[in-house]
Amino acid sequence: MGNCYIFPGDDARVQRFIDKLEEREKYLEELEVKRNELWPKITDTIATCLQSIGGGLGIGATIVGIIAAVEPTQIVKTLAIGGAIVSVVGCVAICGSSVASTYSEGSEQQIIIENITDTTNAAIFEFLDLRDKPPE
Amino acid sequence: MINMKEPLAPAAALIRATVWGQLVGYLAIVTMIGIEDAPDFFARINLWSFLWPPLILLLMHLFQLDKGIATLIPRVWIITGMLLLSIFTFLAIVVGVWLSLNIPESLITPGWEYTQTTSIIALYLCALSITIYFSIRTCRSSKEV
Repeated sequence: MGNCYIFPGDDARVQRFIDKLEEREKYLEELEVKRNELWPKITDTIATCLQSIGGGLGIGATIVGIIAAVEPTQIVKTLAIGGAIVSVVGCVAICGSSVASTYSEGSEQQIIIENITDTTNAAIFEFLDLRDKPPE
Repeated sequence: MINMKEPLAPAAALIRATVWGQLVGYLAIVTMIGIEDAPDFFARINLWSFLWPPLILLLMHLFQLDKGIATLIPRVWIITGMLLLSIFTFLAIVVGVWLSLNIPESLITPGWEYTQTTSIIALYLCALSITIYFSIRTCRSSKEV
């Protein structure tokens, strides 16, 4: 069983303790929001990758179609190779940036976790101070 | 003209296997999110998320798109595209599970604990392995289509 402590509300430390607990609650809610958004974001990333690769293959098929339709001169060949390279680079950029944006969630999550730890420690500090040096 | 009775060429098999692997993995994740939100099944995902993967599979099989693309596009582009797709989606899943696990134990809520579904990594690793296997098979194949 835990102990029950009663302190007067006019002590600044009590107010600081309450503020820190409220702040902690706010950060916990933020972390919960991040959790809720995480997997839908992953599915969006997968869908983006599928679309970009599908689009890239579509562009590739169009390029091959153009080459087959017209006389494959040097200019057409160069344009086709250029187009194919651009489509591959585009796929990598779109899909890669989507994965990178999901990865950057990690640093945001870490900041929230650090804030929760900081506010918890601050609240504990105020409580211990109140317990050891109770207001007169 | 694509002959439907002909055995599937390695490049077409690669496209088919990769598309199946990715879409089954995608459906597994959206189902997982739906179950987590049950009874409000569509709280974070919409019905379209469940409909478009089977639609893509239906179109691919109905119009023989895998064979068509394998006929039109050089093998090297197909292998590159399929490998990039599988590697990137696998990385996205690894990031997702890493973020789910990277929470101090004291802050883990029941909901967060539920998303520690590491089995989804196994599913996408399996999809990536299949893509790699079919890519090697396509590379070694002397048949163009």
